Amino acid sequence: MDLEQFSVEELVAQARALAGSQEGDRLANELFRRHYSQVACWCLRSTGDRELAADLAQEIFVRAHQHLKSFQGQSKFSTWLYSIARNQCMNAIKARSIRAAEISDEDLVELPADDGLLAAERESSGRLAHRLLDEALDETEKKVFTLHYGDELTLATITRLLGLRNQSGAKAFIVSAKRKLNRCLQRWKARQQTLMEGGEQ
Amino acid sequence: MTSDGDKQRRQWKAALAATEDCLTVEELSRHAGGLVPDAAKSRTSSHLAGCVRCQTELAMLKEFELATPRSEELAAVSWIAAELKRRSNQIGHAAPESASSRPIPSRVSRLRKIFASRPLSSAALSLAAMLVAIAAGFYLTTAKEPVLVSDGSTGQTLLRSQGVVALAPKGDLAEGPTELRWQPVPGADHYSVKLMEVDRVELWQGLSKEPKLMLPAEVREKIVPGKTLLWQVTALDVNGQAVATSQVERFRIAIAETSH
Repeated sequence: MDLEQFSVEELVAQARALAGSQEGDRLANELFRRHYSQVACWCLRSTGDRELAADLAQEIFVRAHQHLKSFQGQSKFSTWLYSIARNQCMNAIKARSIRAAEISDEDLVELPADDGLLAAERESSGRLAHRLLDEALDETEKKVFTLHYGDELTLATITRLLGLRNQSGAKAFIVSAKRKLNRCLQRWKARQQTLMEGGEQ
Repeated sequence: MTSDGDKQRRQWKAALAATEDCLTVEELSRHAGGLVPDAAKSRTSSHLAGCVRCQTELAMLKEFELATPRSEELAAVSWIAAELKRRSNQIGHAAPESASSRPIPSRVSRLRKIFASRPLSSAALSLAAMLVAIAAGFYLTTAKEPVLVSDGSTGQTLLRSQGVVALAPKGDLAEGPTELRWQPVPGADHYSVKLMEVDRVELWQGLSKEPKLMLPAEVREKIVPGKTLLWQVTALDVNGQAVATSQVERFRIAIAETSH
């Protein structure tokens, strides 16, 4: 059987149908082989270390093989593989404990608490955070900020994942994002203060 | 790190966490492919427009789907892909219950299977034999299997002034280890050892009064050729307080190469 002629969807269907048999393994290996480069790229960018990336990529495919039966075809196979890869890489990055030493909190704006000013606009702190980011930052700054403070990824990892080419990589975007957020929050506070004073009169 | 800074970081982390309204990876994928059902289009678009978390997830998904190695990544990605190909029998034969429950087929039986799977003409076989001979010659003169180095640099940063020196297993091994060994630490009452997968998910944990610990049979079964595992030992005092920790050590059973 010439596996080259099979589409990814056909390989998935056949590998699932023949799971547990040697032929099923052969089909699964062909399916995975077509995604080696994609997963290798992702793992390399996540870790910055080719040996660790190879070990992680192997784990990702082992998990994909173990759970192939549960893949229902409700999304593309590569999307399903992405969710496994993302979880594995995030776990590995977090477990390496390199985050805390590098995450910078200097000049990070403080979000208003869920009372006072926020009550005037009936908005939660979380929603305000998203609105501020959306209003103040450009697309790259939003991604860098979310990955750094939401996922606690290091600046080096973000630089690799997003393929940032500027000299200082993600750091430059964090610096400009903080500056813009500060300005935006000041404007927002001033607006809220005016609204509240207007309401009291 | 200031406590104010810490508070602000926690605030932002909470604000940027996914909520129950956030889109799943499948929904994001359908959005990227223009395949969102009409009934869900409005919800998907309006959520995405206001959610920085989902916008970032979508961007990451696209990065993954379109991933092609950049010029500076080409060599490393090729090496990783070659490694995955070399280890493919570990991937395809790892059963869900136990990675070692199925026998890994020998090289001879796999070769027989390959040649039995498709009839080949004698010309094709001759050509294949020539290519194999050339490749083998090239491999024997130039290639070297990457040696697994016990990598302290990828392990956790040691913050304690006193460390435990792990002795074995480390790096590439000819056969599966039966025990873990380390140097005794003065003042230690007992030791806690954990064995982990490469993503640091814990496989097993054990305690020992001695500077060594036997691996139970069910743990040894999980140590299959080609699979990298990590381990770390912590020395504890009589109160169970950690007094020293080792680096995270890596090891694996090397895959036996047959001579040509």
